[in-house]
Amino acid sequence: MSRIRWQILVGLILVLGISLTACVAPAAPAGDGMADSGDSDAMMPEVMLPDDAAENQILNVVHEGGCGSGPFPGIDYGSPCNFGHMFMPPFLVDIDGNVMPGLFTTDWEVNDDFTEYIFHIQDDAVWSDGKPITAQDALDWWNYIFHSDRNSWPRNFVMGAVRGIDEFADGETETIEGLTALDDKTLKVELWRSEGSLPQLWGFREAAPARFDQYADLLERADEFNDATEWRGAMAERFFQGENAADLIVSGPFKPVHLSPEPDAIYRFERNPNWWGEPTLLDGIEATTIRDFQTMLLMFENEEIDIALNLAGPPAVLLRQNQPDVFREVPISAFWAMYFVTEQEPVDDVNLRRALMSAIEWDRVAEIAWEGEQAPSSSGSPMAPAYQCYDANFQPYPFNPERAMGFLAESKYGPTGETVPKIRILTGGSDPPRIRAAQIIQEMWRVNLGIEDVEIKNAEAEFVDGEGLVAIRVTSGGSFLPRPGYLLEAIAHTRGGAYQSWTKYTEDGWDDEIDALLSMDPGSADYCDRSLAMLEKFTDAALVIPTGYIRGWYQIQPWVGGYGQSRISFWHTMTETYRKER
Amino acid sequence: MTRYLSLRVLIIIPTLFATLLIVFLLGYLGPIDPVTILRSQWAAQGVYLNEEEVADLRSQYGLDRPFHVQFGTYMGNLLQGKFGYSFLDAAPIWPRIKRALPVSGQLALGVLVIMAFIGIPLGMIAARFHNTWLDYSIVSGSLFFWSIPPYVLVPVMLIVTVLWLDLMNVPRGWKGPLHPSYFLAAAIISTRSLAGVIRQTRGGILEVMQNDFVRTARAKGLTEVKVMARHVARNALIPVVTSLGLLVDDFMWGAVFLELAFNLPGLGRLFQQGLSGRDFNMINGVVLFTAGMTMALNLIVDLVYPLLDPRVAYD
Repeated sequence: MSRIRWQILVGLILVLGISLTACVAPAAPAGDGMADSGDSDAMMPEVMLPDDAAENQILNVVHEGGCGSGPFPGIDYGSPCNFGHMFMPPFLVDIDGNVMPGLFTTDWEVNDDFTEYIFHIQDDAVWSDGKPITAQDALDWWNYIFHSDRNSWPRNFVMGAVRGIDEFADGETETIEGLTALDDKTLKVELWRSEGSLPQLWGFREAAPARFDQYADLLERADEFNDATEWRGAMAERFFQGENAADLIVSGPFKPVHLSPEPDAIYRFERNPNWWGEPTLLDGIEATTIRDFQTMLLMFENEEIDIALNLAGPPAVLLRQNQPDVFREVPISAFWAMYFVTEQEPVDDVNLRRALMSAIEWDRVAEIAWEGEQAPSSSGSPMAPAYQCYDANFQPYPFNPERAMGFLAESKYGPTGETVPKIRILTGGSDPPRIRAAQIIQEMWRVNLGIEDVEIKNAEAEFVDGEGLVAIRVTSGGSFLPRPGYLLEAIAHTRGGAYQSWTKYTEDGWDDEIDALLSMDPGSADYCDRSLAMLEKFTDAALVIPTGYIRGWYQIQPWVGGYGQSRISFWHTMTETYRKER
Repeated sequence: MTRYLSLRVLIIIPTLFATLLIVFLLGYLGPIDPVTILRSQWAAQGVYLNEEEVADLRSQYGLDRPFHVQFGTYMGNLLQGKFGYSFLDAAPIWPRIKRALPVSGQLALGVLVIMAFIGIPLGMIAARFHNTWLDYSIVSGSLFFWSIPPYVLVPVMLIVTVLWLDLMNVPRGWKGPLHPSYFLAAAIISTRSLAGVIRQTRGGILEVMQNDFVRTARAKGLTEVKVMARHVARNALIPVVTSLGLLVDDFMWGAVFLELAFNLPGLGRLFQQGLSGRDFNMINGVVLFTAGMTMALNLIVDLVYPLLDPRVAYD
């Protein structure tokens, strides 16, 4: 009898195991599609590879984090899913800010006050299904993706200056008033304010048109979607979460073969057989999303990957010590900061703010808080080196304890640190570098000014003496385009719009001055002088404590040739990139 | 038996509800929400969201509503079979769990096999040769690996197998149960539970071996293998089977780190993604599923008891 029970038990385990295996057996892995491209190859122009090119021209890339809402541009900013440049933006912008042809030609026409542009679509530009790309295609896509129902956030910087964008964003109109298709290949753009850098702004991937008709049926199902999240979910399901990535019609040099993040978290791209630009040297791209920096580092060190995007943190510091030449910096026009809530005591006093700024050792803050990952602020200037007109000598608040004490004595809370009321700093999260930055600055104020009563909390509710008393908040700031006008608009203009004047700088006429700067030709002789004068005026009010300039990196193996990355166009040399023989 | 089974199944429902309530509440009370993470991610790229835009996002995701409204909405959707959408990439949750399940399932199966075919025999060997160098080696070796937390063991094993021994490349995605990375992954996850299984088997066998019926079995001339297999192991393995019911906990704990480092698209990776992004819908979905699995496995283990021990009866 006992033997029979044992047999039953063993049998049960076996049945359970087999059932479990059968139930959990994964679907057949999605083919990489690379082997199935025979038909496409016949249509491809012959590519002349450089002499040192390797046989295998599949570029291996890893990047941190997953994709945004899907393979389409326009919804989220900077989704790495767009890595393959499946959708060509109107322009490409190189690392020096030069505008190059993208989907549009560079022979645009613009009126004198930069409020009306005429753009031309490349004559031979076609979608991957062979259909010509028209101006109406671009309009249809923008009117769809930037619609308020989809809550597209990049709309603010891509279309922020286009006439009628606010009404469109509010759902009052169904189309963006300032966009008109003059003919199949010509687009007229009317702006509500001067914008001298529209071509640069349209170099962002988020400006790239995609094929509206692939999503048009969703409009008929609009009643099913209660909010933007559900809209995005439906769109993501179509080509991203679904298994039909190869059906996605694209306009760029590469088309997807496999985009679904599961089951293997690998995104594969092959050549677009109907690519209309210079032929690509690469046969395809294989991109993997990795969430663990150590794993990325290991893959890089083991030479399994060609390019790593965003390797950061302590592992990256080690790698940089061993292989400094593989790190390439992408200039970023942004900074980490703490800003004063100027209506709150005691930072309502400008001299106290100046004292606090002058008591900070800027290099030490960046070194300790970010362990060298971010660049130190140029003595309190919010202008990072990536900006046009950057002047290393512009240092509004160099570390100077004596000067700091002088400011403190002039403030209504002086003459010493002991008389300064409590300063509450809100870090707004548990991010260690931001907390460390606040703590280091707290210590510098204690040592250099004798201010003892500084309290740091991660959440407002944690202040035991109540809410609404926060004097300093931790944040970040910057602008999409590395030009002083945009920086000032971001940090000091009351318009808000694409950015926010979070420093509450509201001097009369200041907005007009910034607008005038924005409409200036950035290449004009007095542009930088005027910019720096305005920045000096802004920093004199001591409103922002820039704790470090944000630095962007990518890591590239020495056997990758022709790769170039810029903040705006991300990968602007996609047709020139190739893998060299190792 | 039917009544017992029905009761156990019914109890799962309020237990799952309570689990979800606690997890939801923790997310609600926490100082960081998905919008804070999104803001931080964009800020790292040099993009600043102002307070108004942040408030809009919160409103869009319903994060500005009171707890009972948020929880009620979630439960309402859940009862309709909707797990919701990811806050961070807008993708629906359920298809991701569905895709992750086979990976985690096969991984768990591998762990189970290691427990059964390595853990139990090692425990038996340690017991049979107790107080010898073999016993000491097995027990101390298992304890050594047990004492290393997964977030240390995983990267160390990767460095050893990839960089030093050059046995494989860094795992990238799911390659199936025949790939070396699968064996390594299953072995790493099982290290913690393996020590428990070895110790429990060893202890149980040592205890049972003191019984009279074992001496009787030997006296009637049975071989040592037969004594161990028929008389000792069967009685000693009941607590081991119990511990297998708790395997899901150990598995999830190890899988979070392992699937992250191995880039395996399983439930652990989803959970980690949810946690790091405060993606509440993702966290709730995975927790709901793993809690359900834990309860189901414990139920199965309880049902197996009567087969192992005739003294256990549910009627």
